[in-house]
Amino acid sequence: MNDPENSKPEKELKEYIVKGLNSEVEEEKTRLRGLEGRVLSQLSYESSDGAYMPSFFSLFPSPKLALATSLTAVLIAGLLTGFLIGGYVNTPFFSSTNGFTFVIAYPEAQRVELAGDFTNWQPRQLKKRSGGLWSIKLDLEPGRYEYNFIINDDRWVPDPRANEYVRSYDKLSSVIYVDDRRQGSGSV
Amino acid sequence: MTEEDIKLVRRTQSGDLEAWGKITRKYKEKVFGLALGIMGEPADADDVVQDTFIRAYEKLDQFDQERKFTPWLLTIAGNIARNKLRRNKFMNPLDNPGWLKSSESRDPAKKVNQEKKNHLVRDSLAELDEKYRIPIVLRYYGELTYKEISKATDLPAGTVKTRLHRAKSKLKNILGGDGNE
Repeated sequence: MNDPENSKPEKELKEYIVKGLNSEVEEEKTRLRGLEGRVLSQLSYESSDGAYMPSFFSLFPSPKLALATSLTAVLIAGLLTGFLIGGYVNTPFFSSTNGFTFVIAYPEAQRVELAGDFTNWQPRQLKKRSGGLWSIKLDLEPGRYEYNFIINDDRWVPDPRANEYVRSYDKLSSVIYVDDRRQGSGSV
Repeated sequence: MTEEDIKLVRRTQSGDLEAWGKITRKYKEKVFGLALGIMGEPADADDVVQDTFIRAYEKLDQFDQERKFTPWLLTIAGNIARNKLRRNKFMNPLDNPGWLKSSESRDPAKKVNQEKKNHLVRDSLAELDEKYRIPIVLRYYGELTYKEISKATDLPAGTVKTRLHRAKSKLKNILGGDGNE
């Protein structure tokens, strides 16, 4: 069969598209860093048992990044343990008499912000902590709030520790429920 | 699909999520290139890549290991990209470069970015209407068959063929060719 796609102009057109897009992929490669972690993270939250814990060392391109992430995981585990001991089993957030501290581990981020209905969707910048952690403390009245993190002014990222998620405008938004008990008497 | 890929897919199917992480790492750039050709914007393409690996994981039990993995994955990516473009057009009509290119020139950030980088291929593809852009990217970059493109776009194979023919002709015109049909 005489396939017109094997003609010279067709081959040239194909080569033009493939080479051009491949070089643009090369330019944007840094954007894909850590994508595996994000995919697995989302899948593990979607799974019913939630028992999955990926091997971070196999997911990151460099040992340094893997180490930083591991330290972060250890730190978070420690904080959560303290949290559980404090009786706040139902909340993944750090609360205190002075408000809520939102925390996300994102070692590769240059900038992390938080935007939600409690900020009128205006981004509030998080402070960088050790071990790739970012955090911000906010005063919140009891209620239900939708929010997300913004990574590097660009990427809209749900909070892995949200109470639930909703899909709006084709994006996944994080939801937290703040009650009087957590707002008023919690401590970390 | 290599022997190693088959093992990774089997491991994933038996509940080993880490194996899926390795598959994601291996194929993410190919999926990103395809998504970039269709979506035009790297941030949108990034979303498509993430959604593709999540959807593919969820549909992995439907994957026939006798088939090739890459076309199966790219068919899913094509479908997600197409749906996302439709939703974007509905939600943010002014952001759709396919039919309102002048909006880009009004955005100073995009203008600066464009001046910094000259994305010839992406720009040429963006000039095509999405009904032509999607099949041509799936065919040439994704190397999908008409049947696979048909599945990704929910179009009959005959329509895919016609659109591809027109897409090639239009793209040649955009690139300054003679556009022989």
